[in-house]
Amino acid sequence: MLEDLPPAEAGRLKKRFDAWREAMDRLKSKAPWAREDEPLFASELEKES
Amino acid sequence: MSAHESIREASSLLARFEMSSEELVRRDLGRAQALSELNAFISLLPDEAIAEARRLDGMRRHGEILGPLHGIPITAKDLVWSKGQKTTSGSKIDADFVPDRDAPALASLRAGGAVLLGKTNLHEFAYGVSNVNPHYGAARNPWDRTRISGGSSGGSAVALASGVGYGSIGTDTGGSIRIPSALCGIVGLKPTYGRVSREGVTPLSWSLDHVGPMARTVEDVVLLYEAMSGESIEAPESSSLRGLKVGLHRRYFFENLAPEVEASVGSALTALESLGASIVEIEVPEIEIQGSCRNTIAFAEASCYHEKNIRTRPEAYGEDTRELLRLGLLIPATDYLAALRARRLVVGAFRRAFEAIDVLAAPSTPAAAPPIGASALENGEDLRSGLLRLAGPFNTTGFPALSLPCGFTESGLPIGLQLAAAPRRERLLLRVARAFERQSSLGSSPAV
Repeated sequence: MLEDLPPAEAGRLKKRFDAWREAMDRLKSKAPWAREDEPLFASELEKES
Repeated sequence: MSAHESIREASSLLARFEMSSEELVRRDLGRAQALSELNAFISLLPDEAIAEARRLDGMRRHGEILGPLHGIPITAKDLVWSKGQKTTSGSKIDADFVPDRDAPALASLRAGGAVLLGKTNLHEFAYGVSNVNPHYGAARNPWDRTRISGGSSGGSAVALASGVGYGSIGTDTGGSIRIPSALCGIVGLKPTYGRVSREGVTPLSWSLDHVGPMARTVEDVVLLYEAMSGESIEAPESSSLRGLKVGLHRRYFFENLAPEVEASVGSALTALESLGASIVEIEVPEIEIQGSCRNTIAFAEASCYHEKNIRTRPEAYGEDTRELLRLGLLIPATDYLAALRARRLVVGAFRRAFEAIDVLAAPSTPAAAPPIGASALENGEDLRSGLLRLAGPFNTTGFPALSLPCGFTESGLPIGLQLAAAPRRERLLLRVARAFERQSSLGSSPAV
C-alpha cells in the first residue's frame, strides 16, 4: 500500500507504522502469555454486566 | 456545580407548571443557534423537538409523567442512531445516512421523557481527540473559543458547558467522553464495558467502545445513567467517605503533568481525605503495555469496519482519520491477537489492584485544553497520545471511569479529576463523585 501513496503521505505513514511496530515489539517482549489460551476478553465483562 | 439549573430543578419547574417543556426546548434551541460559531451541533431538530415537547406537556397536563426526565431537553453525539434523522458520524462518508431505528441508549432516554434537541459534533468517526472536524468545523471550547473542546464527544461537552440541553449521550473508546468533559468543565461517565448498549451506535473499535452519559453535574449524570442502563443508583444518606480507600498510581498517572493540573488534582485528593477517605498507593506494572495493546486493537478494529471505504474512497476521509485507517490496514492479524491476549493480563492485574482499593483517582488529562491547531499539550506531550494517556487504561480494561471538574487554571480553563472503579461498581463511583462535587465550590459556567 505504501508504494501507491504520494511520497509525503507514504513517509508519514511509514514513520507512524515504525513507531507502532517498535511499541508492539516492546509489548511482546514484556508479556509472558505463552500459557494464556483462554477465551478472548471482549465477551467477558459484557457477560457479567 | 453549574450556573444553569439541574435536571431536578428543571423538572421541578415543569412540575409546578412554571415552565413548559416547549419553553425549555425553545430556550435551548435559541441558545444553540446564538452560539452556532462554537460548532457544537451537526444538526438541530427544532420541529421534531418542539412537537415532542408539546406532546409531553400535554401528557403532564393529564397527570401522565414518564419520570424525572419528562420534558427534559438532551442531545446525542452524531454517531448515535436516531430514527429518521441524519446520523453523519461527523463524516462525509455517512453524510446522508438515515437510520431506521433509535439506538437503545437513546430510546431509553426518550422512553423516560427526554426530548432530543439535536445531534452533536464529533471528531470524524470518533477517531481522534481534538474534535477539529474537517467537514463540520472544530468544536470550540466555550471557556476559550481559540482552544479545542477535546474529543471525540466534543460537541456534546460544548453544548452542555454552554447551557444547551441537560445531558448528552457520548461514546468513549480511549477517553472520548472523559477528555472533552475535563476540558470543557462538565461531568462524563464511561460505564463498565457493555453496561450501556452499543447497539445502534456507529462503532470505532467494538471491543473498546463504550456508551455513556455526559451532563453538567454528577446528579444529572446519575439520572441519565439510570435511564440508559436500567440500574438504580440510590442517593447516599451522607457525603461521608469514611472507610473508603482511594488508590493512587503515582508512577503513571502523576508523571509529566502541567503544574496547575497537578496542583488541582492534589487539592482534590486532600478534599477526598477530608471527607474521610484514605489514600492507598498502588502499582500495576502491566500498565506499561496497556497503551500498545489498546492502540493495536483500535487500529485493527477501526480499519476492519472501514476497510471497504478506506480502500475505495480514501479522499472522503479527513487527513488524520485517513492516515490512522491506513495504518490499521498494515497491522498483522498476529499482532492484533497478541494484543487481545496481552489485554487479559492487563485486566487481571487491574482486577487484583482493585482488591486493595475502592476507587482510583487520577487527573483526566495531563494538561488543560490546548489551542486549536496545536500539536502538543502544555506539558510537551504529543496532543493525541497525551490526551489518551490517562483515560485510555480504562478502555483497555473496560473498567468504569468518570471525569468531573476539580479546578481551573489561572487563565480560567477547566481541569478534570478522573475516578475509576472495578467492573460494575458505577454506584460506588457515582457516590464518591457526588460527595466530591457537593464539597467543591466550582459554581461557574463559561461566559458565552
